[in-house]
Amino acid sequence: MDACETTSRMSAYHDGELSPELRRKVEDHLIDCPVCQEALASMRGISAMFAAMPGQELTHEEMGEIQKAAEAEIDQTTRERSLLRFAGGLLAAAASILIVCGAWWSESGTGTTVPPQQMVVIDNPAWERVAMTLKVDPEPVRSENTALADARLADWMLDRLSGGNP
Amino acid sequence: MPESDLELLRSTAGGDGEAFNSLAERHAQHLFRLALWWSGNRADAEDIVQETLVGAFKGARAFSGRSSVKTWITRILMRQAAKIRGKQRGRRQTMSIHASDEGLTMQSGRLAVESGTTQVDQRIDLQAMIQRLPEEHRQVILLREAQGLSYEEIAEVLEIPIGTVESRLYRARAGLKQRLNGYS
Repeated sequence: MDACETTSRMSAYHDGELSPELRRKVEDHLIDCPVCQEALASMRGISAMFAAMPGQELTHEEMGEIQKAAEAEIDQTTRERSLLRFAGGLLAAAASILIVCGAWWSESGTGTTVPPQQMVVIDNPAWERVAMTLKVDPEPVRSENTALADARLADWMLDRLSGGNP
Repeated sequence: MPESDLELLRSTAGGDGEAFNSLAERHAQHLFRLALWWSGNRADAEDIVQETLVGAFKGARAFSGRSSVKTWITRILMRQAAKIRGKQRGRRQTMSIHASDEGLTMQSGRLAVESGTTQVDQRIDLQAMIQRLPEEHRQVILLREAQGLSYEEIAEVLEIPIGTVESRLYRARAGLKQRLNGYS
């Protein structure tokens, strides 16, 4: 049997989904088209099979089990949502505290201030002071002990250079 | 006066468990029938319905109201059914059919349908035939034949154009007819 272009519209015709105008055209066509007649009969047969199948219903017990299982899962979802909300609140509180602390820290400069008299002055070595400032330290005031030690060192050196002879 | 589906869903979104139960009871049977056709056995069908109800609860807040609640829940079911389908492989069972209606008899697990006018006696296992259809064909034929949805509703459920619904349904029926002819 030859194919017919209108056959593809048979589903919509069978299901009552065509416009009134199109429906009339298909009905006119059906009178003389055995291909479409057969297609339509086949569709009606399939629909009849579905309609003839007895409906399967959930029993009361099955419905109860489904609802119980669904409720358990829903409860878990609700708990998870609450936990997420709580965690979100906690996070927001922590962020607020951090922001407040940061603002306070920046307001107060570098943190706790120490009165100048309590500050410990670290005396850097001479070479470091020179390196940092590029200025030579002024001549240090020599103590008497230092001068005496220098004199003894000079004597000792002369004594050695002269071989012990005066 | 009973609340509408939309009112129940809005209450569900607000955390009203009673509203959710009412909604579940209202839709459970038609969801189960579709799930049973889809999966072929009661245990999987129950799982699908359960997951669908949970999905509806979770998604209640996001419901836009552009489609009906029934269409929306059916869409959730189709998604859940596709997920559960993967699990059922290897333990496929044929749906148990308790034929009690006039014109139906069970013969060795096969359904005999007698037409009142032509007395055509086709011994078929419709469930098995449907299971062998490509998924997109199975979807449209079940939504149409088992759920009685209009083309517009099917288009909403599957999020496809109406023209695609029509063409898929035509091919689905042609495929089913071919399989039934080969079976008889």
